[in-house]
Amino acid sequence: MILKNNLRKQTLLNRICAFFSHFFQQDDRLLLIAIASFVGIFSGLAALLLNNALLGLEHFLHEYRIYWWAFILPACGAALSSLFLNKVLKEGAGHGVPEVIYAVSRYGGLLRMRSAFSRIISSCLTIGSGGSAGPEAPVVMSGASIGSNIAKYFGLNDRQRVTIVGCGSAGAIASIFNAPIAGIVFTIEVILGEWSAINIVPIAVAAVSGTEVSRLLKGNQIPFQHRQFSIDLPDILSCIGLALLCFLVSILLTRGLRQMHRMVHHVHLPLWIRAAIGGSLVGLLGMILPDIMGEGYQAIRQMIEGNYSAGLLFALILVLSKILATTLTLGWGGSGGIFAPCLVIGSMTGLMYHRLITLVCPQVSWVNEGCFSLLGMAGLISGILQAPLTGIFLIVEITGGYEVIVPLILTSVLSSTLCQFIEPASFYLKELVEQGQLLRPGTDKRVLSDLTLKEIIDVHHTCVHQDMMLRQFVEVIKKTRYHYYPVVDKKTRRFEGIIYPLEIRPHLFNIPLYDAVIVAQIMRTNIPTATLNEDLNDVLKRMDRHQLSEIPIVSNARFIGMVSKETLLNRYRQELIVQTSG
Amino acid sequence: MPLSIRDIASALKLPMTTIERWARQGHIPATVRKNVYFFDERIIEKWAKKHQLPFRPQDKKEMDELQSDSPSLVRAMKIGSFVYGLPGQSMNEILSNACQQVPMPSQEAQQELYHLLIEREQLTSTGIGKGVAIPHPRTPMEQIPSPLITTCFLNDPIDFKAIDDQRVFVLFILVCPKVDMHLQHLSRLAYCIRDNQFVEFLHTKPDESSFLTRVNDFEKQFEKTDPS
Repeated sequence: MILKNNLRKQTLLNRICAFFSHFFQQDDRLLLIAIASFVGIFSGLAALLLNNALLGLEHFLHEYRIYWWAFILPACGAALSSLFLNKVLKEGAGHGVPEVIYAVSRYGGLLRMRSAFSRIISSCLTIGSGGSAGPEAPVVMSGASIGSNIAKYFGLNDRQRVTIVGCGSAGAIASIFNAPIAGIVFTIEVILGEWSAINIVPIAVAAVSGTEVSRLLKGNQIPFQHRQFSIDLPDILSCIGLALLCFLVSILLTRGLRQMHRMVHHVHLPLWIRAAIGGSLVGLLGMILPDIMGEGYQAIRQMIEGNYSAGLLFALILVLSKILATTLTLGWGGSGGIFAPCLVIGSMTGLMYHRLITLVCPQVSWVNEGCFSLLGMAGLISGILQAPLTGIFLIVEITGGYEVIVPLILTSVLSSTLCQFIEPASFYLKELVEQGQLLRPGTDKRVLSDLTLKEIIDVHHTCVHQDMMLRQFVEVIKKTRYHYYPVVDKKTRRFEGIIYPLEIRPHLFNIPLYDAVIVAQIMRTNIPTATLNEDLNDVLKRMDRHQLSEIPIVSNARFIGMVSKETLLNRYRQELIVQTSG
Repeated sequence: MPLSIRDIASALKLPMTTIERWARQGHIPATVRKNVYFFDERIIEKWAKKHQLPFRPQDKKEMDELQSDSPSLVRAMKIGSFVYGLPGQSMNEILSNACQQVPMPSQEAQQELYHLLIEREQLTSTGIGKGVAIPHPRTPMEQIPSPLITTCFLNDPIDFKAIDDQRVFVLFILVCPKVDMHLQHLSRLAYCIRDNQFVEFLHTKPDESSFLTRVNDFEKQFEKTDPS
């Protein structure tokens, strides 16, 4: 009886499992939403953990900052962070965001579990000790890694895993800034690069979960509160100048970071010593200008409230020093992102611009300097990340300032567009684009990278030998229906050339030639070939260069098959439809 | 009845590698059990219509024939497919190239098969003489739904350390999901190869249909002599 009951229970369980498996096979949206909410909670917690750890470390080290040797603190932090990443966990430094985009592009969002905590600890050491970097990119990596590993646990496929990785990133950004829309927009605009209904819903759910976690544990605070701004037409028009300034500063920061990376690459010292050198230089700079150290949010608060008393020259020095401190921290091997430095440099740029326009046009009643600081932040974020929507929504949410939306949009889009002229790829994507590793969904590159020669090769053929008489070859043509015949050596089977019956048609009807001509005399030689493991994109380029409509594929000098543009077009179209129509 | 990658590939007229990649990337609805993908016919039919792909599943009789439990060399050879002019100079190279042609459910399974074949060859060669080898794994592979034999005619005969030291010119890679199936297929194959005329016939590298007709004749003879 008991056995019978157990059997009945098992059958019922099997039926339920089969029902859900069948249901989720047809439509996985509910499954993704459920997983997204968990991922949002965990990535939100990771973001809060880093935030609190940073506050704790900064508070602990605060009393030591008055001593003359305090410049060693960022050096120790950066060195420890580098040792932890390179020796303990054996991971490269990096910002975090490009690594996530790379994983999404090439490996269906596969990330290692250790990445979930590695950047949190290393960036906490770098930033908490005074290094000029931001905690946002590390929490994005951490959230993405949490998402990736949860997706792996549930056995999700690449497309679903990429969405869940996006959920992790959205949850982390939403939690750290208490800004759900910025989390969604950043993830879709920067991380995934794909606006589709299948992605947006789970990502929005994760962003909401992340925000709620932050609000429950930290309270519903707006990070940068400000006064009411009354914005008039001159203020809006002046945004054009501010966008131009933000563009210049963005380019300076991007180029500065890259130059510093290149320069440090030639310094032959252990990585942790390099990080320590960069950290101590930041520490020395910070002894003169303390506002450039750490994530720098306190300075932003003062600027937005209009309580920052720097003049034009001092603001310029602050902008340049913060850029230098960030390039020293990140370029020499410290761990952290550029999000927070961008916000700080942006607000300083805004302040500098306000000082400049009040000096040039003192008769105009300009809006408060806090407004320009706020616009400067959006301008810098949009310029560096080339993601104007992220800049707009982030600043609106973290300042609660919807009344500045019009100049905000203007500054963001202008700064982003101007930066695209000089730097076609954003700071995060530059290296990936240069290495050809940025493969956004539904693009030509993505399709060509997914399709392999193995999938489009035509292996149906009949080989002929060089010393075959034309008469024998005509017999082969009679029995077969191919439009090409590979010629191979009788003994070694080495690929020698190809005969296209269409090209030699006059000879085929010239009976006196049948016993006078051998295959070697009529075959086409010196044809470029490809191997099965080559990248399809490279093979296509070779075909274009030699104006070929098909190319023989060889392995070990033996003919395997033919790849034609006709088959490729057919498969390309199918692939594009399958990849883009959900 | 869930369909395998092979069924879907044949119904959609696409290579198995494409179907496997689409399943891995999540472009085609599939369920995964023990790293093997399964598909629901009705769902795939709808999916194919939506994506403008022709979907013609094998008819029921043909499917039943392919999935029947009674041993049949012809059925296993049809499933396993034929390879002509397999390149390679050494045993490892030949087996590696051959495994890429064996219609296993995933690339990982092909890799696993390669390692199992090498492991088996290290014990003792599967070159059974007369230039024929029957590489097979020591243990059955449960990932495949039914037995398969991939027939590979080599570009150049190679030294396979066969018992009669003759160079091998044809391989029958035999993979089965169960031990008893393995033995049944192996004995049928050995019965065919015992016949010298059959080996001569193999030397002509016959095309698929005439080869299968010949094997079918042998199987009928085998069933008469060995009704078990």
